[in-house]
Amino acid sequence: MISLEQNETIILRGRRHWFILALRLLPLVPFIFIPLLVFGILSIVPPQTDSFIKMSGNGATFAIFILFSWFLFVWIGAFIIWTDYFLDILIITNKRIINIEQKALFSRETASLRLDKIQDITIDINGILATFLSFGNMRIQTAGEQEEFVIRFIKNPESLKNAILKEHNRVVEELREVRIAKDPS
Amino acid sequence: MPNVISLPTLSITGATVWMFFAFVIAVWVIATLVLEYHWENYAVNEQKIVSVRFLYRAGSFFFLAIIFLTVISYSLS
Repeated sequence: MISLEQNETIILRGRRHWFILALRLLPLVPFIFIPLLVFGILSIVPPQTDSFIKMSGNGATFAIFILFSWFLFVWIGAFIIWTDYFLDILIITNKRIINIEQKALFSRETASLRLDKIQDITIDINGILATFLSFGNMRIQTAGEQEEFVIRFIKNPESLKNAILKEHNRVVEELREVRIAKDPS
Repeated sequence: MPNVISLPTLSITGATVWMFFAFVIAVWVIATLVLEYHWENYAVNEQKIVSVRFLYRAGSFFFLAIIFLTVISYSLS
């Protein structure tokens, strides 16, 4: 749960592109077919297991039990991957940018920077897929000692950049007005 | 020549399958608690979580129902 400051409101949320989720889910696909392949082979070439495995019940029922238990584990695995993807988020508020990165299920990193500290935003879209699907890396350079802010494989980086710059300009303008009001000379 | 190497026999009784079933349930409960904790505490978009939670539970109960039926069927056969 992110805690917002007083008078702070969320303006926009940015996520990684769904293609990144699809890439992460891809390794699970073979796991769906492994048991089907094994049972297929076993049905063609039945092993000589009469003396090794003794079943008190129906072998086919036990095979279905193993198959669906396996599918349940794959199902859980898919949701763990989805959760890892979903909890990676870039939040743009009227005061700052918050980048939350779920590195693993029990490893989480939250970084934030104030909008007025932004000096430059660069977008890096590499490759044919990134171009057509519109995702890329966004680097936000900041004033001061804070390190560069990098958000990878973000969806629609151009529109996010525009939204951030718009908010940045608004905050800078507000600060300028406050300074002028304090010291009119 | 007589076969001198004898493999240990693996006996899969109804009780064994119930033990496997208990293991599957334990894994599912732990994974579900971990996922629910993350969705509850870290998710920003609540609406999305509602639909994903429904999908996860519906799929899980479908698989668990079939697993449970096979355990019953195996025990009775």
